[in-house]
Amino acid sequence: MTWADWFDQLAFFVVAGITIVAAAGVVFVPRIIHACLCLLVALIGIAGLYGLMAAHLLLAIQLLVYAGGIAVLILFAIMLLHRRSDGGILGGTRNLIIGLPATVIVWFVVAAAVIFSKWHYLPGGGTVSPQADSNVRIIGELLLSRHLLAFELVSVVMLMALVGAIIIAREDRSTDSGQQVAGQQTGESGGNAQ
Amino acid sequence: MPYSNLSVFAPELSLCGLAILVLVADLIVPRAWRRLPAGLAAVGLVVPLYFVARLWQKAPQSEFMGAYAIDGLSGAFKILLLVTGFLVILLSFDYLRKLQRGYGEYFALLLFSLTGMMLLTGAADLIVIYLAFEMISLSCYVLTGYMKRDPRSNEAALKYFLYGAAASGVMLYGISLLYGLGGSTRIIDIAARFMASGPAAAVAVQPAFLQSALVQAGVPELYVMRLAGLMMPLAVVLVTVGLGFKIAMVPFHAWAPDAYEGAPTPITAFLSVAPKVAGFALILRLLLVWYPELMGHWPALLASLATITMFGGNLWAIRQTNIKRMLAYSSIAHAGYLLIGVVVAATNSMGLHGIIVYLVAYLFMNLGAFAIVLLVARNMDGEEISDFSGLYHTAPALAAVMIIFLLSLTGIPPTAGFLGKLFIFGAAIGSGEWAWLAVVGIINSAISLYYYMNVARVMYFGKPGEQVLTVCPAGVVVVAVVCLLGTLGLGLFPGLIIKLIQQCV
Amino acid sequence: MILPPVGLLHYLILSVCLFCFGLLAVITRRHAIGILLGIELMLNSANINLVAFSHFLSPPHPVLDGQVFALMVIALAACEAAVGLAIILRFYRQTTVTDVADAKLLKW
Repeated sequence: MTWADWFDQLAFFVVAGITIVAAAGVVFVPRIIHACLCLLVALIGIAGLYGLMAAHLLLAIQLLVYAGGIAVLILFAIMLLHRRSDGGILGGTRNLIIGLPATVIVWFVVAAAVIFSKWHYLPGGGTVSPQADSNVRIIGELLLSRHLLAFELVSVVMLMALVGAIIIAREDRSTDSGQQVAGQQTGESGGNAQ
Repeated sequence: MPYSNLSVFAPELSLCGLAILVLVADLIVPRAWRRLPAGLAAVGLVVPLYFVARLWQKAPQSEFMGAYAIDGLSGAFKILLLVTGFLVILLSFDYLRKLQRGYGEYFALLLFSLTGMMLLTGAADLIVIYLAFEMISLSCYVLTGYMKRDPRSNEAALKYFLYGAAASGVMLYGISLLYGLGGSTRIIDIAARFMASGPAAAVAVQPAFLQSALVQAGVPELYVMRLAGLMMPLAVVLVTVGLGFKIAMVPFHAWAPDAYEGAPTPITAFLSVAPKVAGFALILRLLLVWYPELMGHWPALLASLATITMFGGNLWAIRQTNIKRMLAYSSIAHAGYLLIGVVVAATNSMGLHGIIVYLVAYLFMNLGAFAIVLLVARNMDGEEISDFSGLYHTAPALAAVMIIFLLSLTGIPPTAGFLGKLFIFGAAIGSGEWAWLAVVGIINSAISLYYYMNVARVMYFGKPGEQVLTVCPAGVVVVAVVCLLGTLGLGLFPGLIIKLIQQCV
Repeated sequence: MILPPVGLLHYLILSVCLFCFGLLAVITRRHAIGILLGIELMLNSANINLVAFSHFLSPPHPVLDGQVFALMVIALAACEAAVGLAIILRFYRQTTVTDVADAKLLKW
């Protein structure tokens, strides 16, 4: 094995190890906020894996949207809640008795299927153009040709999710106090929106 | 040009446009006129319906470079979805009267949900399937939790979300494996790849050392070969989990009773019909494209799921005291009957027609039953079966109509439900191999008679409450009448619809 | 020592592990947000699959469908997290239970 091969191995196993340990943390850490921080680490590790697979656009988006957006959103939500701990997996054994064996079985089945399947692939990978910018260009072209429908659809889904999340999350203070309060509130929220 | 002919995409475009229009209209009209956008939502549904009907008779075609298919089958499902949407909007007007805010958004979300379902009926690409699936799920979570003041609505939304998101995660994992196996996201390309190469001719790169190690360790070579074919069934099972969740099959049904009970009643009606229509459309498309190369064992899996779904739904329904919860379990059982049609449809076009006929019947009888539940709940302020006590004496017409819907749900002639069951069970018997499923279905219909007729018994022999029906919201009455006409019309004059379906599908 | 070169299987096995950790979190976590964290792990494991398949895909199909799919999944995960967190916050504001299994207004 050449030095480059050793570097490949080292890079993969270090990043994969960090990701796995962090993912285990998501399950086993008692405090929910720590679990979320573990998820953050795992997400960054996964971004590293994307980098190893020459998916540079995804690396950036994983860091920006997933680690920077979603994980931080969840962190904020946790801080808005007062009940932050559920004792984790070790705090209660109720679901553990079924959950752990079931998950282990799932792991064995899926791993066996993965290992013994006939994948129609090249061993070394790297069939994708090594230049990152051309990858990005290919993805952009795909989004506007082959996957145009999906691209348009995702915008509609985002609009819908935005509306839905606002509806559920916003305070509804005017109980039965009539039209006036409600009218004021609508005015307020309209002002806020602008 | 990737989009050669957008006119075939007109139904989805107009429906999505309508949803956005309702959203905007709700922002600009004054509060006193807030019913205007809602009315717009109901009336506007005519436009996509017109486009679907116009496309229905045409030859099958695909759009967006094969990502989206337009054919007679998806056309039939789209019409069903639009009719469901229209009736649910009519049901919602009165229910939402107490809602302070978010009146227009409710209808916009409903229309977005319908858009997602219509897209799912035609989706021929794994990405589009996943996106449409999530679009339906997200809108349904929000609609389930729409009555924010009602803790039960919140709890229902939470449970629905947690189950649903986990199920879609599992399904996504299955989809990713399918993509890996097929090398493409288009379902037709995946099928082509499997037909062309087949497992034997594959230029496989795999850790041969593991397999030879197994053989050396004494494992028969046959089993090692079998292991190599494990991936496809596994991926299909993972996808079935997600689909089974959406149509509330029994091992994945746990969310359904809670979500149905806690959700606003019009949304319960919507959830019990529309996602099932969309889910079955997707199952049929996958089955028709992928059978038998990729999904040889799928009918057997679905047959066993159908059996436990029918028994589970019906047996749990017996114990229920809340009418919405009972109808939830009954809708699970109906998903089981429909699954029989799917199992048969792989080899027999009668199963296909049976599913459509059954869904038409199910749409009318189930929405009709929910309309009556809404009327009773509006006046009695409760949704327990005991609230129906003595309904025959206080409101004979209402009780009679409810009886007709219940008879239809059981499958007794001359109602639509009988026709649907006749088709599905007939197709199962005709297929020979799956005749035993028809027997299971008939046994289950007999079980269901017990709890449906229990409601009838309460209505006729129960002690009448003091309250009489005073409020009869026009929208709900219209839905009840339409559903009554549909249920009886389909049962008495089946020839018309059957001819139409056989022509177009 | 000769290690097999880092290939498709490495990534697939890793993704199976992540998927199973996600599944375990969904089953055993009792806080709704803990379950949400598990779901995010599951989505990410599927994404690793998608990207790995698209990277190691053999030359007749030099397309990046998998990466496009992964992009869509990330976008949808954001939507799902937004809607889900809204529902979770609304739920916890109204009740005093932490454990979602104790939410028994509706029979489980």
